[in-house]
Amino acid sequence: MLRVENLTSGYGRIVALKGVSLHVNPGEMVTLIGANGSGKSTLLSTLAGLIRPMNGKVFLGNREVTRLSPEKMVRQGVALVPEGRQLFAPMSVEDNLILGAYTRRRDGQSGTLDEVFGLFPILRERRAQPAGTLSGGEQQMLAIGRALMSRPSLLLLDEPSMGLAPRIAQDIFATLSDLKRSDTSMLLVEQNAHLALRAADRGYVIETGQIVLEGDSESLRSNRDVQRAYLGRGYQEAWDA
Amino acid sequence: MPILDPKTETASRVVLRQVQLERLQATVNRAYRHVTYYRETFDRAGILPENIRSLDDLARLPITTRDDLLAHQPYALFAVPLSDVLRLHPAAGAGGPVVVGYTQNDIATWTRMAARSLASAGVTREDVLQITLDYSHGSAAIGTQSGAEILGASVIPCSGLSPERQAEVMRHYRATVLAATPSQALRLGSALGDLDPASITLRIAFIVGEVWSDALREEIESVLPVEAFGSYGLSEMAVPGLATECECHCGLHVSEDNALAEVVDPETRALLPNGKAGELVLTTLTREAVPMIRYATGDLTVLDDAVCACGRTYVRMSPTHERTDDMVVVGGGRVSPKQIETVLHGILPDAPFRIHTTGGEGLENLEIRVGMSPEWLDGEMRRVQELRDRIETAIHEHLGVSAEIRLVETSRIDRPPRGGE
Repeated sequence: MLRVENLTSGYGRIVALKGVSLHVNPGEMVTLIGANGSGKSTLLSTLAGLIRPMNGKVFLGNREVTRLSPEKMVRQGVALVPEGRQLFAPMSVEDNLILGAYTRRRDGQSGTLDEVFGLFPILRERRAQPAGTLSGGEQQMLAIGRALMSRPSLLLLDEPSMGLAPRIAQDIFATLSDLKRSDTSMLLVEQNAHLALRAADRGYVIETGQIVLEGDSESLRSNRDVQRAYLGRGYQEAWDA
Repeated sequence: MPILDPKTETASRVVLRQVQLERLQATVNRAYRHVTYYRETFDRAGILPENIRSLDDLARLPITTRDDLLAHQPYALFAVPLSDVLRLHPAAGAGGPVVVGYTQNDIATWTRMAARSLASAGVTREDVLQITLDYSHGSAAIGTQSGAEILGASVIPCSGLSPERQAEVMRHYRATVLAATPSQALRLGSALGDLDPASITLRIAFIVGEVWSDALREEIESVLPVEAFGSYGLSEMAVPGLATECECHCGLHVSEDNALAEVVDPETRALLPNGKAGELVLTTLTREAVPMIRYATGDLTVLDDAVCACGRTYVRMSPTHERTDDMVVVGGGRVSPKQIETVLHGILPDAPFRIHTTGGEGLENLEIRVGMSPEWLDGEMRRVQELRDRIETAIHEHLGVSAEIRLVETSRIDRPPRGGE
């Protein structure tokens, strides 16, 4: 599905990613764990076409897509759920969703809209409401729903749990797990390593722009460096308390 | 034979190379950040981790030798704090043992590698596995046991028994798989004597040890009613599981998602193309505690990347039976004359000695003749016996091999032994 080789990218003269290689298999959820400023969001922005990489290659299947524009990446089946949701607050929920399908012909849109409403029933209830009036969790659902409107084969998720109450974050992740079952591949950037490693199949740990560890979620969870740096010392699950 | 992890073991080269590149880069990044030795050698070579942009770039990194490991004992090559290490296995070899640490994940990965190896030899949950490998030295016995348990086979750990007792255990428990060094397998074969072949349930010999060849397989298969599979391990990395024969017996598949294999010219250390014989150089891809980058194994081999009939896409290495150094390979272990000298002279300073190996390939016995004065040898028999035992014990403890010590008159040391070698 997605194959990244030696991606080097950044802003101006700041190199935030130094030769990152990773891959996401079809139907797989892969997470990228790292501290603030480690290069996680730069990676997603580069993959979405928002930043042009300085070096390296990106493949979707056998096709090289390294320097495609954001709209071309969407047409290639890659959709980004950006950090902080980036919704159009005065517009209705439904209009926000329809914007997500701008690369597609109109006739298929209503079917996809129904599917998104199926995944997030609350959005159907609030379809006419301005997006800015939604709760944080609902806004995140809308941001994911909007990305799904382009019928992506690869979903890039930037911090979907950010600013959400733990229970709401868990609901969002439950929905992502449902999505995975419907064969959507996902690359998930997440500060909440607990949630991410529980939902994802595999993961990469990124430090100052370089991958230092990779493995299935279970082996990352049992890695002591990961425990110390991202899961917290003597971390507990909610039900352990 | 069933393939335990078909998704990885039969992955296309494109997929495999991607995984290898990711793991190599992560390994190099971690080694550079956490191990001073690697940071210094990379810096001296003028290479930064981000310069490793393809698998071909691996050849730009410096070679690590056994001497480098020895110079950084016990823990300077660890990339994790000792508190993250669950197990330490001393790896015997030239210049003394080096210690290899394993994290929880390292043990799990290694166990999986061993399980894959056993599966490729045809071991299943129905099998009863008799392990005659020595539990007190190296990691081969425990690695084989853990791997077999993953497969659900029944394991009989029984090192340290005489061949006759091993044969009894084998018959009594109806063992179907023997996990042994070449010499152990051959000795068990001769201990069977004229036993009714129909009463023998053994069907597979899983051979662990540093020596392997087609001739050795034929020899083992002529004394035991088994199909014998060779397996390559390196106590500095993992035994067994680094490479194992499949049913085609056409070389040993290197566990390429866990280790990268290269072959270099033993003199110049220049990279050689596949198909050319040279020294095997291995780089770990999944090791957390002690990552090793371009470790020169001292073993001579040839790599073959032609597609194998078994379906595995992993490159095959030819059986190793030659070394680039003066190591003597005995009973699955290996020692250098220098090591023997160190141990021996620790007990008898300056005593002259001579090393003899007897028996054929795979059945080597190590005999060390130590020169003594005639007056000393004329003394009490008990004293001679005690000294002999002391040296034998010390050699076994320090070097992990069994040697027969013969105390002889010094004048007999320089002459070749009767009957030649």
